[in-house]
Amino acid sequence: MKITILNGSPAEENSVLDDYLHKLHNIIIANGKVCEILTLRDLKADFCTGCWSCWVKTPGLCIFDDDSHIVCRAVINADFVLFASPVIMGFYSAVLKKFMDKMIPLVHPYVTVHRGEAHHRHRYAPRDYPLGGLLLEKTPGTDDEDIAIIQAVHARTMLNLKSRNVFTMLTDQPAEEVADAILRV
Amino acid sequence: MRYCVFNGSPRGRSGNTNILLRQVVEGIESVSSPEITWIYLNDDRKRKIAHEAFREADVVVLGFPLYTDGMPGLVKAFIESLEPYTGREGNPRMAFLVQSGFQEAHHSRFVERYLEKLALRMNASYAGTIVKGGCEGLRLQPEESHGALFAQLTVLGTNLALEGVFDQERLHLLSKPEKYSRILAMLFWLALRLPITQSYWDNQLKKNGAYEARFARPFKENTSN
Repeated sequence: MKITILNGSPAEENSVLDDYLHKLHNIIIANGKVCEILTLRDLKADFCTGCWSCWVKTPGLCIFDDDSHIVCRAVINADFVLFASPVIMGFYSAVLKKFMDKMIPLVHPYVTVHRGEAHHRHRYAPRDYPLGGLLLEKTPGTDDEDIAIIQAVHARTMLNLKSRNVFTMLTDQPAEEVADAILRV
Repeated sequence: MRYCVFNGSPRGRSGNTNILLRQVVEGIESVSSPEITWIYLNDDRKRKIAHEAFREADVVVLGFPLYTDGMPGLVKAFIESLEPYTGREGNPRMAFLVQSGFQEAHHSRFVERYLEKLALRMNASYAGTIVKGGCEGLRLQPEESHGALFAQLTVLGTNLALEGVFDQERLHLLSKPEKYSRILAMLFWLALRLPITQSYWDNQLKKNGAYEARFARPFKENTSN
């Protein structure tokens, strides 16, 4: 089992989330699994420009040769992806959202109907898409409604990534519990 | 009244969001003499100082295309820059516009809930969110063909200028269909079997010489575990 952790913390230093994920990573490794953390703020990529070259010019690849390729490769080849971020202004971080936007090359432009709704067709084989989990760090001002809103949006994103969100957890919970939830998948 | 229109489209002036926002502004201007500032958030330099325009405005309209079920990353970066004004007394009234390629409004309802909460977080009056699907081809079609849509958006603009909020019933009508009915979903599913229905994409792929490679899977590794 291969696990990719996307660290969406924008903080350069003293990041609570960095420390938490480091601990989580060690627990997962100790259980004999392959686990990689991608610290998104250290990766280079501009915001998606909406050019859709990844759909109509260079199918499956962002036309900009940036680190979004690293993220896409790590996501599609994982069995499980943990999306981790502090809650900032009631949502996950801009740096995580930037890389989520840059995952559209993982699906196909063709439209299909899924559960009665329009969605994009899969590009990779349906079994290739990893299951997902969401880990949020509450910050001052974060309330339960914020968590519910993020969870609802993220569930939709995972649906469009041909997958589903298996759990939403908070860094208030011990890393051991999050590790257990991942290892149970 | 000082209005600030934030266009959160990564395509900026040439995108579909701009076409829709222009109609709303036309409605505002038809019944009042507003001072209007346009800010294009895809301009890195402008985005970084956009929070100053937010602070100075009486009313803001923030529009964007739905990106992976939420706001585009650059719009989130802009929202994060508003953090110092959280809960501030005298924040501008906030109105939103979300447009999507998919036809059903349902796709945009999740981020709409976020936007309403954002206004509350800012201690700002919430004027409502215009949700409109099926907008991907908008900029490629002649403007004359959008008469009914444009008229609706203009009326919503007058609502905002005169009453300070969008009319709920009008928002509801404009956003239809909410979801496909079971029969429509089935017909749509059948129609998608016909090669012609994907021609919007196929034509672009062919023009770029990428049609044969359209199902490419460039990142797939042969996994051993």
